[in-house]
Amino acid sequence: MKLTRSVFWLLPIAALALPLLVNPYHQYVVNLILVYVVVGVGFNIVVGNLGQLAFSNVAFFGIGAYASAIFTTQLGIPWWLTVIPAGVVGAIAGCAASIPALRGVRLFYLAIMTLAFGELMRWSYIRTPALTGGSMGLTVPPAELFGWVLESETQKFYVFLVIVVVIVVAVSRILESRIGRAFLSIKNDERAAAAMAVPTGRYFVLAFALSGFVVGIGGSMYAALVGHLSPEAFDLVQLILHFAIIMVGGLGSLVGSILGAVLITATPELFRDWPGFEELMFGIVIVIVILFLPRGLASLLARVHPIFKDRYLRED
Amino acid sequence: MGTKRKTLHTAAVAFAFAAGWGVAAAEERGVTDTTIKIGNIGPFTGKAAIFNPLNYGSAAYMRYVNDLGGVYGRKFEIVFGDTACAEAKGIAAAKKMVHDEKVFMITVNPCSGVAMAAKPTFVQEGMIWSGVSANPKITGSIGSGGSGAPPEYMFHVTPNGYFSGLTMGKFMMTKPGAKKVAIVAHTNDWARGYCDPAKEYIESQGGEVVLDTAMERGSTDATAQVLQIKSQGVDGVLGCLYQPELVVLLRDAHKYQLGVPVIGALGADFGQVVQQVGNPDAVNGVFFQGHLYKDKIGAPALEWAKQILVKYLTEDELPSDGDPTHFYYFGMMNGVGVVEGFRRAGRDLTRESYMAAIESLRSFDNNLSAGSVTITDDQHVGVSDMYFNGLDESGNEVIFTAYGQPLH
Repeated sequence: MKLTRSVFWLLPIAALALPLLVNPYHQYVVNLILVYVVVGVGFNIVVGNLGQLAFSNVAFFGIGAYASAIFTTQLGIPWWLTVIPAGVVGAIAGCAASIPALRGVRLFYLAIMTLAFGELMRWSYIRTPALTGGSMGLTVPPAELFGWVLESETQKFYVFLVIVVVIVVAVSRILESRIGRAFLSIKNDERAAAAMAVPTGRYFVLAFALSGFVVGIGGSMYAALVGHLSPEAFDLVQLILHFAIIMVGGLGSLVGSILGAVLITATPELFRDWPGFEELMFGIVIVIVILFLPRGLASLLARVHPIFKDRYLRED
Repeated sequence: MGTKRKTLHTAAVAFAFAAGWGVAAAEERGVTDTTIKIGNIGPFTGKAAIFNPLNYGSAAYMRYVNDLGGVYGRKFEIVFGDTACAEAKGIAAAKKMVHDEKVFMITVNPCSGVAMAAKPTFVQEGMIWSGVSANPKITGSIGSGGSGAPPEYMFHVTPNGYFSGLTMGKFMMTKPGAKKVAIVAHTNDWARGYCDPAKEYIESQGGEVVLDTAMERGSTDATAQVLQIKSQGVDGVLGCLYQPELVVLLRDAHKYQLGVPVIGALGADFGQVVQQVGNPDAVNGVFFQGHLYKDKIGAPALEWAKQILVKYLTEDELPSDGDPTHFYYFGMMNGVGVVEGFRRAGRDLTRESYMAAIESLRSFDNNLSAGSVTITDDQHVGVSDMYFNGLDESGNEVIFTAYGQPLH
């Protein structure tokens, strides 16, 4: 029998039984993985698919998290109603972050400018205490879904799982469409793409906005999961984590974003009993992957069976 | 004197041990006939790992008690957990302690952001928590920097940031003629936890905070801050900074001849700061810091604690020169309070009996802190007083009860 990509649907279906097998600690780690799957998927759009060295991801993540938390705490909106708005705010931030790229800023210059955007946002969280709680942080009330309070990790898991499935399927569809092909053409050769009448500027804005939207939703999930936001949670260490997820998983690969999120989030927990060793393992994993699997873990799986290769990357 | 104090401690704990033979099996989470499982969480990795002596100090005292036979026959089984001072990882550490390790209580937990993020887990699970994190929102109630009643199972047997900050403000205002004060602080919850109560106190006493400026973590230059302060003609500076940045501030304050006292918060180790500044002129008579202990580190009154730290910590857990720094004693202060709770709770240990015991602490002398420990059902922050540490013009360490007023 020929394996098709529909087998991937077995994953979320099988995952439904997960809460029966794990305790709330493990469930929390799984929930954190789901948050970082969304973050990885969003980050990969700009870095992996559009091929831009842009590091505004941590800004989108923080903006989404704070947007969701502020809508909940200041306006009394139930969390589930803040998820899409958090994505929209992230998308607006994405449009703003694309401005330097539209003006022709590329490579390290774009990296520095987008890094500065992240730091500027962190400064903003600190300097707007009326909205964000400033340096003392902002406590997010338990997420609520139609009067159903998401207090337990299991409840959060089911909601997060639905969000992850929707995001992964939607982004997959987009990347397989004309839009995704345009992103790849820009990544491969921006001038050639422009010569082929691809409106590169428009696609730059679209990629950054889409990335901001997805990562903003990831931020909203993070706010619901962690329950307390502080500016320091959105610093360079957070960015390194995001970068490690897509590097280890595979640049430009949806499968890679998922694998990277699982590995990078779960590995430190596996080595939790040996403090310091987890940091060492983190470094070793990244070095090994970059040296021996420059296309990430996804490329390893793709060798096992072609269904693991993202459709939009198959002609590479 | 040190021997006498140690003897008193030994007698108290040995009494608890002796009384414990024939203890009935307990059904409380983390408690067996012979053990009490304690979760000791903190930043063992990452940029805040400088705080882990707090974890080791607490552990050292529990190991010492174990050596004496434990409390009512039960020995402490300490499980360390790394938070890396990051919320997401800290929650994982807390949940692991609760659900995987099934500990009786969680202690130490420096890093306010982590404690705040993990607080819902502790509250939801009814987990007893005795920590050292500064943020008054963690255990504070009205009068200790919080609002309303304190959380049922969470307490400090040490001061929180509110009281530490308050005493920084008090010390500043005891300087004759002090009116204008500058604040240099990190832009995080820890720093504001200290500097905001200090600011409130200074303003309540007719003083004025003429400058409240930020110094980011990782800064290696404080020229801008120092020149700003100098232009304001202040009477003193409050530095709510971690150790590396406090060192930078002190060096630059000397370089630009600021000439006013700089009062540091408890995020830095006094001895290490003096050592790292490396210039007696930059610290002698200039640098002061809240001092939690009843005398200076190394004084006979604290010798018993030093002996325990040196004996019960491994080489890896102690500083490279083997000499425990201030944070170790701070951590031990937490350990002594926690153990006293077990001693008072009696043989039939439950969360309720433990909390009742903790809430019975009235002017408890832990033989370590400047102030005694008092915890009631509506006040879960045990210590509200402290002295101040400084160096005289010859570089000798002096403990002050107020500005210019030495303890001895």
